[in-house]
This record gives sequence, C-alpha cells and structure tokens, in this order.
Amino acid sequence: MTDPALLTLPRLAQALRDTGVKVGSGSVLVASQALALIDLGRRADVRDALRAALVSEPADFELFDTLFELLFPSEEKTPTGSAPALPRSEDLPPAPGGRRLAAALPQPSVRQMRAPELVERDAAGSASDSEVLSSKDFEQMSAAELESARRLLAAAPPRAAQRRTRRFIASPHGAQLDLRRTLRAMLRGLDPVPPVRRRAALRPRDWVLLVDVSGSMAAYSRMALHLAWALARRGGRIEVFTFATHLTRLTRSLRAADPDVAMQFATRAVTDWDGGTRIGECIADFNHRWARRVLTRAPWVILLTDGLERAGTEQLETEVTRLARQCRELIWINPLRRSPVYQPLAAGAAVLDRHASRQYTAHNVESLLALGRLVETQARANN
Amino acid sequence: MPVQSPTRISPAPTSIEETEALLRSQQYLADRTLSVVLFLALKLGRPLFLEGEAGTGKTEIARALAAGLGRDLIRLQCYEGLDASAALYEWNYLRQILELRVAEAASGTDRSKAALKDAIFSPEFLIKRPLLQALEPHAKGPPVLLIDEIDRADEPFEAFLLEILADYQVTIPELGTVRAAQPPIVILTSNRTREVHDALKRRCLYHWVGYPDAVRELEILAARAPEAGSALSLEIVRFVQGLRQRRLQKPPGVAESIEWARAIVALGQHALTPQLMQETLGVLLKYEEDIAAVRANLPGVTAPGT
Repeated sequence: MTDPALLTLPRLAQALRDTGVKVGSGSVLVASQALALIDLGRRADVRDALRAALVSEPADFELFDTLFELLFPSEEKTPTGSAPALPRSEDLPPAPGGRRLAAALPQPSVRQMRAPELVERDAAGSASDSEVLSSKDFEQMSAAELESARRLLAAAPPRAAQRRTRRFIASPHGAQLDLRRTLRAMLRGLDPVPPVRRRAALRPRDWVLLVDVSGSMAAYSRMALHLAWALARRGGRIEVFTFATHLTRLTRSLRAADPDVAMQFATRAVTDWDGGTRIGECIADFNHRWARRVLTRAPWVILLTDGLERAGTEQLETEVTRLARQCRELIWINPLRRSPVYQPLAAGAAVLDRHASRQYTAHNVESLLALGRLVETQARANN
Repeated sequence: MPVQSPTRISPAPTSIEETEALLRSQQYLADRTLSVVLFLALKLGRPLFLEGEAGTGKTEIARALAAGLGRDLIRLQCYEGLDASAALYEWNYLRQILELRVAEAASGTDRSKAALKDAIFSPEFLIKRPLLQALEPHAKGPPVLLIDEIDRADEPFEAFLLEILADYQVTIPELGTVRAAQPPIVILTSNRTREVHDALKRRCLYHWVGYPDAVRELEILAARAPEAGSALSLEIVRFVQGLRQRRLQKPPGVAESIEWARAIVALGQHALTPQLMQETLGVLLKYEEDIAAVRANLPGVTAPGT
C-alpha cells in the first residue's frame, strides 16, 4: 500500500480544502477505495476517479485539475515512499482559479499578485477595463458606517413575502379534506367524524439581491450586504450578487454565521469594489449564467444601484426586460431618490424606471428600515 | 410483502472498458470519464450524481444502464412538494374509510377494534411508490433507481432521501421494516436549477455531463438517428456546435440535435437550406429571443473551428 497515489491523496484533499472546496473524510475514503479498483498507470482515469469522489461542483473542476497536475506529476520521477512536497505558488499557471490556489499554497508571492493594483483608486468612477483589484477590509469602514450597520442588524429585518408551496398543513378552513387524519379520527371512534381539512403550506418567497459595488455606490453597498446577511438569517432563500465591472456571487460567502466573518469572505471575494459600472453587461451575465438557477420560484429581485450606466443602454434595456419578466417583483433601490427633486433622467436610470415594479430609496439606515416595513406590509397583504 | 423470489443477477461490468461497451450496446456513447465514474459507482455501490444542462442525456444513462444490465428501471420524477407519501408509500385512505364503514354496517355487534385495524392496515391497502418498490426484491436483480431532477424537489425531501440512501431501509409503522437485500443502483440527476445540498452530493460520486464534442455528437447521431445519413448529420452537428458557442438563453442539447435530425428527415429533406432552417428552428431553440437572434444571421452561425 505504498503506492504514491495513495500517499498523495491526503495532500490533495488538504490542498482542496485550503482553496475552499469542502472535502469530507468520507469522500477521501471513497477516493482511496476507487484507486484500488482502477489501473493506476492510466493517469486520466486516476484523475477522473479522484475528481468524481472529491469534487461535486463543476466550478471547482479547473482548480482540481490544476492541483492534480501539480501533485501527480506525469513523469514517474516521484520517489516512492515519500510523497511529493506541496508545490509553491509561483509554479502556478495563470488559471482563473489561480488566486484562490495561491492563497492556499505555501508561498511568498501572494502579496505580489495583488499589490500593484492597490494604488489605482482614482479609477473609481471611470469604467476602465482594468479593475480596481483592491480587496478592502471592513475595518476600513468609518465608525459611523459601522454604527449604522449594527443598528440595522439590531432592528428586525423585514419578514419575507410568502408563497404557496405544494405541501399541506392542517387548517380548519382549508379547501381540501385531509383523508389521513379523517381515517385516524374514525379509528379513534369519533362519531360523527369531524371533517378534517388542510391547505397549502406557505413558505418565505425567495429573494435575489443584485448589489452595485461601483465607486458611486460605495457607501451603500456595504450596508446592503449586511442587510442581505441579516435577511438570510431570517429564513427564506436569498441569493446575493455584486456587480461593478463584473458579476460576483456572494451567496456562499455570506452564509457564515458570524457577520464579521461573512463580511470578510465577501470583501475577499469581490474584486471590483469601487470600479466603474457596466450594469447592462453584468445583468446580461446574470441572465445567462444564473437566471435559470436562481429565478425558478418567482422570487423578489432587489436591484440596488444608482442606474448610472457608463456604457450604452441598448443592452441594459434588453437585459432588464428579460430580468423583469422572470421575477415576481423587480424592486429598484436607488440612493439618488433621496433628493426630492430627483428624476430618473440619466439614460440607464430611465430604463430601470420603466421596468422596476417598485422603487425605493435607501440612503441611510432609516430609509432602509422604512423599506423593510413596506416590504413586510406588502408581505401580509399578499397572503 | 411480496415473496422473495430466486434472483439471478446480470453480471455487472468488471472493467471500465466493459462499462463503456455495456452503454454502447444500448446506443449510448459514453466518454471515458463517464465510463470510469459509472464503473466505480457500480463497484463501490455508491449513488451516482449526474449534473448538467437539460438535454445532455442524463436520464438516458440510467435507461441504458438498466436495459444493458437487464434490470428494472424505477423512476422517481421529482417536483416541488414531493413528500414521503408520493415517493415512498401511502395508505389508500379512501378504500380504508370505505372498508371501515362497510364493516360497521355489516356487523351489528362490533368486530374487535384491533382486528379491524389490522385488516385495513394490510398490504392490500398499501400504495407502493418508487422508493419502496426499489427496496423490494426484484426477480432480475437489484433495480436501477432513477431519481430524476432532484433539483426540483425541495430541501426537506433531500434530507429524507439522505436517510433512505444511508441504509436502504424504511419502516412502515403498521407493517414493519422493509430492507433491500441488495441495494438498488441509484442514479440521481439534476438540471442545476438550484444547488443541491452538499451532504447529498457528498454521499454520491459526482459527474458533470457536458455537451459532446463534434466527433462524438456525430457518432451519437449515427447511432440514434441513422436515417439522417452522414452528410446531413455533419451539417447538423456543425450548426448545433456553432450555436453552443453563442450566448443563448438555452443552447440546444444533444436531445435537440437528434430531434432536429429526425424532424428534417420526417419532412423528406436531406440537406440544410436556409428556408428549412427557418421553418424548423423551433425544434432546436425554445426561447423566442434565441430564435430571433439566430434567425437574424442564419448563414453565419457555423462555428469557425469545425
């Protein structure tokens, strides 16, 4: 049992975990059993077998393949008995997962990979193609901001609107007879048998939050993420995406139980804080990659942006139309509305104005809470 | 409970090559990765989790496997709100209630309550749903249990399924425990309209079913729609592969390619003309926007590389 493949397996598993892929010890056991069943001389088969056992998310395949290449070198030069050392991060090919990989491997060079972009702060506000790769810490939030966020979390977030499910619960005035409980009543000897009824159970409607994190929205997007975290705690499924120059899914990052940890994950995941805005392109990306996955149950989509699109509005028009058609409500939260004389005259804003089913402002904690109350009232009315 | 009948189990494949040949015998052309994973799933007795876009042949894998092994295929189509009574078993309450009433009317003096209860909670009144069927003994050997589109079911059902997959047994309070002597071959599919919980995925071997490359798709067409002929098939594959490079709401899957080939043959045609494509695009594309976009530049959609 001194096969190099078996010896390297735990390292592979650990490297995967370090990059954020969840690998249980059960999976590692399955992987080792799988290795016993196949021809270890066929490297591609070994890769397929290990991947099927260890990874269950196609987005992580590339990461896995890279790690596999590094830990299972194709030339048979690996000295038996001693597993190969973990590669250093400068050996990494410039793959898309490279940054996550680099962070997981012992390395001198992570800092160098990120540092050069930090100075380009003045790119904020211009839709430059080079993203501002700063990864901001929430410690940099001003005291006032932090205080606002805390108050926001302390106040109960809005109850999510409800939708009917196809499960049933007992209800004296339900529309359907509950045969199972009727039979039970008969067996208990109740005579006459009381009619036992049931109705469709309700559950919180899903939410999808699309948060603009571009330069002009910087002050609001952080609060929005805190709100998103709090909503997720409150029950109901919530999907969170951010966008400025590209779309980032934050749902998993925000799942952490501790808000500080969640925000740390989020800050690390988003690479275009304070970048320019390409709303149309980002919504197009959302429609293409995510809509069919997260808009399946007629959710409420909340779009937090000032609508200041730098690119043309033709694409924005097409994509927002498509988005609006696929959700129950498209709610546009626009901090600029705080001004009583505001009119959605900018081209991008005009498009959103036409398609959003409701619009609110959210420039401070008070208005966010007011929004919460409105949503809650609506939720009750919908029942 | 049905009487255990002597079972003769069809031989399971003993190598990756045999697995591939088994699927091929059922006109299913699997790539090497799928063969490896399927072989391991059979060998290790693990459920196989197949994820991928609609129309890439996930359900077909289960069918081909069942047919190739000569086993029964038991299919559980998932939907939101699917629960134990629809997936596992349910008592036929209506019949039970009737039976109770009849018994009460017939015997002036009460038959003993317990006897009556036993009578109506007998297998005769049990409606067996797919999961229970899959746990029962089968003459042809353990069946293939296809749990189709698990992403449509909701989280509570996933948790329930985890429990079943953990020990392949269920307890019906009134009747006792049903345990599979040999666990069924379990295949789960998902179109990825939502994320299935990690806990369930981790219990399975995972395989992502992607679109085939041009060469394989051509082979698939030759196997599944031979009437189209090689020239037409080639044209179809080129066009469809080109479409998948574009940003469509729903790119056509292999199922659509096969369907399209058959449709064109049914129209008595043997070559793709712009006119014919105009008329039959609805077989390939299911969104009005996609059809409009493709129609707008019909001659220019062929992939540059193929």
